Amino acid sequence: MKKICLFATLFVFVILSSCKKEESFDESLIPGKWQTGTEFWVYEFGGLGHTWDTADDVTEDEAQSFTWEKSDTRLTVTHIGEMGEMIPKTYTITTLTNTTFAIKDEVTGRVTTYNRVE
Amino acid sequence: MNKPLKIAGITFASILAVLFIVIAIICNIVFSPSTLTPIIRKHADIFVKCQYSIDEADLTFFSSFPDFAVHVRNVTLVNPFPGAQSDTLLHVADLSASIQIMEFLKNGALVVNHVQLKDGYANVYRENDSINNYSVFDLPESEEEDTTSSIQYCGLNKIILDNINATFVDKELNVNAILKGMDTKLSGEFFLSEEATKGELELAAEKIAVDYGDSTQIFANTENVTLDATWMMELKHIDGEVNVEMPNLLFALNGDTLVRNHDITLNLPADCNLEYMYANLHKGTKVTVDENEIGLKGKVELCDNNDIYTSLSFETNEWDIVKSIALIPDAYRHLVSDYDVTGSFSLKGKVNGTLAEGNYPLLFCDLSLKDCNAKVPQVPYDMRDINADIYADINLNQDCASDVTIRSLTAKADDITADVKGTVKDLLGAMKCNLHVKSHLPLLSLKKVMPKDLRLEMNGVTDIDVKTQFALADVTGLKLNRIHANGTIAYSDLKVGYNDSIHIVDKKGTVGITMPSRHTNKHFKEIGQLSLDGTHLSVDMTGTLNAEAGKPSVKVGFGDILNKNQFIQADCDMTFSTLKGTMDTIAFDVTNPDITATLFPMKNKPKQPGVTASFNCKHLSTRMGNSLVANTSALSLSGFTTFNDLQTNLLMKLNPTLKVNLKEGYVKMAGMELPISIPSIKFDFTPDQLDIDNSRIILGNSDFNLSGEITNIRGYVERNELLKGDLKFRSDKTDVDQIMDLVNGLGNESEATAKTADDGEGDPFIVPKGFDITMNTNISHANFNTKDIRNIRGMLTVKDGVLLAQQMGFTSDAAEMQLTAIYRSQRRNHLFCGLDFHLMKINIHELIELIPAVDTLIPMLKDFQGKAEFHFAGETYLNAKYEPKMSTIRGAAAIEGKDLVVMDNETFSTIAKYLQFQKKTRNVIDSLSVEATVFRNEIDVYPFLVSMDKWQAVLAGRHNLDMSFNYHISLTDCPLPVRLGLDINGTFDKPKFKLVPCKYKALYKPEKQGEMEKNTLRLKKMISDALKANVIETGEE
Repeated sequence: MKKICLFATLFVFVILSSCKKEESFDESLIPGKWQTGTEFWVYEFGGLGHTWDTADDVTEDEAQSFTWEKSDTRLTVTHIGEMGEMIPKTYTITTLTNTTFAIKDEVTGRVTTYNRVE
Repeated sequence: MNKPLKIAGITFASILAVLFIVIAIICNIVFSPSTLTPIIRKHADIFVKCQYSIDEADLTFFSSFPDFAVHVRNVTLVNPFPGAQSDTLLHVADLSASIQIMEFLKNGALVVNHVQLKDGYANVYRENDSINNYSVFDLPESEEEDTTSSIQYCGLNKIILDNINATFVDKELNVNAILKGMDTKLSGEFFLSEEATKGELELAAEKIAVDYGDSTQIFANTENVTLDATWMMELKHIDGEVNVEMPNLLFALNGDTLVRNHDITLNLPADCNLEYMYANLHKGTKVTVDENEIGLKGKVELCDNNDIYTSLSFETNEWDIVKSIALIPDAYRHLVSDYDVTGSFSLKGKVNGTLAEGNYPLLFCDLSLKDCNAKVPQVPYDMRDINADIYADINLNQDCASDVTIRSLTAKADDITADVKGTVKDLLGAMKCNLHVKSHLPLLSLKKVMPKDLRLEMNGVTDIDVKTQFALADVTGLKLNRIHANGTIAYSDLKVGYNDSIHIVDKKGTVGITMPSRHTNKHFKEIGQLSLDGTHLSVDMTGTLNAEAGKPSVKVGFGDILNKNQFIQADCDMTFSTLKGTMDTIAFDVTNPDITATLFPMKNKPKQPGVTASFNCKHLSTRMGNSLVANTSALSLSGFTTFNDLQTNLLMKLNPTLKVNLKEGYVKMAGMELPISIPSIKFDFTPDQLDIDNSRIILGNSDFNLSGEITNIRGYVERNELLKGDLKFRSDKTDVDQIMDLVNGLGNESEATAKTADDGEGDPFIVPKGFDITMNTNISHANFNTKDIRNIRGMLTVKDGVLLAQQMGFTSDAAEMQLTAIYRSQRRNHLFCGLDFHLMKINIHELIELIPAVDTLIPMLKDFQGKAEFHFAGETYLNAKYEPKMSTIRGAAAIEGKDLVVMDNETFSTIAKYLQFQKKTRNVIDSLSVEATVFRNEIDVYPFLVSMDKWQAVLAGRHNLDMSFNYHISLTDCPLPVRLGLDINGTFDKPKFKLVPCKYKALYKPEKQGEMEKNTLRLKKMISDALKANVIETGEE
């Protein structure tokens, strides 16, 4: 019985320890203008946004549009092309504060960190 | 001799002897000078109040037989008078007079047979009628007829003045006159009681001089004057003849010498009536000045109202012009002093009518010029051989016209000849000319009348034959519409050079003129028409134009071109058998060109021009150096333009309307391997619209038609509105590869130029803004990438800076295709390029062959064989060098296929080995559905299922544009007990394989799908649906 209780306790521990609680981020922190290097992203309330890279001689007026959607830690950014194409990109939010926004590419695992500009 | 006669003779002789003895006694004894002289002096004392002297007087008979004559010698009257020329009033060396004794004795008539004054002189001085030096005779104041006198009548037969000199001074009339050496013989029958007289006068004077100087000063002097006259007078009618010769006459009026030492002769056979005051000049009446004669004949009558009626004919002999000019008074000689004229002329005519105040007789005159030569300062030619036959009808009365008829007028000047005939109506008024001019005119002769600074050289010969009608005011006022002219100017060996830069040559031709024009012009009233019909006209404008025209025929109709209140009116029609030449580097050769052009003022704005023009030819060939050759077998151009100078834009200023019809054209451009053949093209252009009715163009293997319209041209030009176009491109066959090669060739050339000019910056194509032009394409067959593509349909649009190929559908052996492409040049270094491309039922390897970029997008696709659908949409911005801006690349692709065969290659073998996959000879998969996206340099291949026999695998992963990749294969269903996964990393040249857990084992098992799997499939569907949304059904326009 003792073994059984020990096994049960161990099982519960294992179960509890394996069920890591996912971090949640405040979605309202996302809207804003974020920058990493020469790359800018503007997230707007309502799920719209646009992005540009000044290294390629592109201004904000010439930025390309996207829609974004946050679900728990998952951020889905869908780029809407003028030719009708839709390019979804999914990321995992790793950091989201008033000044910092970090997302991880689900394919490569590479994390990109943005700083809020406005 | 018989005795009685002898006795009678002796008796008669004895009587005569006695008679002579008696007369001798009377003359020498009874009336001897010693007895007669005192008698005369006694009577002279009674009648002569001044001092006088008489040497002696005697009576003669034998010297004056049969009459008695009285001789008085040295009669002198001396009357000193203040101011008089001399104290001697009169001196006559010999004064004699005779009477007819027999008449006196027989009839009681006192007939003075003669009175003679010889060798005398007189000095007459007069201040007025009462103060003078000749009132020295005390004559009875009343001479009442003595009815008791025994003298029945008095008569005078002869007066002789022999060597008489006289001076006359009249202070009242201011006259000084000298008469020298005058011999006068007046003879006839002059009876106081009879109304009929006849006489003769012979007068000769060595000198006669008169100086009259009152309000008008007259001086006349002549020497050796003779006058002889005969007349018969009866009842106031005189019939006779007067002949006067005044050699060396000098006549001056108010100081101007009007006649200087000319010999003047007057022959006047005439009769006149003093009661009715008329004179008839008989044939032979003649006035001669030197050698110049004027014959007169006719009647002159002084009417009761003092009007003078004339009916005279006149005729001159041939007057030498040089001598005639010498007759011109000195005061007026300067008017012709610069003229050097020789030759002769003659006049013949009539003067009819009444000369009165305000009324002049009519003059009808024939003028004949003969062999005249003239040098006139204003005319730079020596005119010669001038001959003329001119008739003048001169009427100087008010509102009456004088006319001239030129029966012939010929003249020469240098090598020029002229022949003029015609009439001039109203010579002194409107001068209405109706002339026929013929002239032989070597153009070289015109050099004399050209301005020296005008560098115009003309050679050749012209023959002018022109009939013209005009009034002088029409010419001076340049009223061309009132001038009539009709004729030709034939030229030969024409060579004209201007400023050493323009040379015109033609062998032979004719210039015609017709005024008014016989041609009706709908734009304006044609005043005249000029024409040119040449043989072979060549024009050489050095360095600019060199042209030769065969059989040129040019007709130019013109309106009132001198009206400054309206634009020039002209209508030109030119035809040539050939027209060829060079202009700069352009050479042209045209067969049978027909060119018309009309210039006319606009109705509401007459100072602004309207122009219509047309050009037609049977063959046209042009060459622009080595860069362009163009030919056409038929070209028709017609246009219309209305000039509006209020507009600033040239197009709107010209406001042109143009119709073009070209057939069988051919264009070959340097750098373009293939020529362009244009079987036909036809379009209409207006400032609002361009309509291309029909066209067919063959470019290498391509054969297409272009039609449609370009609209809102005016709005585009004036208001910067969009230029709109709706064009249709129809082609049975278009070789895209060939055209691309041609374009590439041209592009490379310009690119090289651009790089030279602006190295490193690029010179991208900037889509012009302001255009909204759509081209609806319909190509039956196109060759693209060596593939035959059929039924290409779609819209190609240029809209305000955007170039758009919209839903271009087409079919090839490999697939049915559909393409939408956008090129937008927002700015020079930011160019948008987007594609929406769909291929249906395409063989995969042909797809990759057709679009090699597919291999970059989905590298594993080349491992499949079979037919599939391919959908792609993507975009990127390019810099000025057409290099993609990596941050802007977006794209999505979807490929669907069924019954595909997996190619057996090294990679497949390796995968099969890792996954324990049993290969077959033919590895067929049931279906394939691949979605891939491109974001910047990342290409994500979304998980797709591959089913083959009992095996199912899911492939997914990412690769980058540098072709490094990270892929995963999950074996989701297989005969094996385990579900293996395989990661493939690295590059396609050196892939690395690693067995890993199966990653997508639940993706295609709905009962096991989690949130992630569902989301993945949702995204796949979203990508696919978005791509397929633009697909239109085959056959749809």
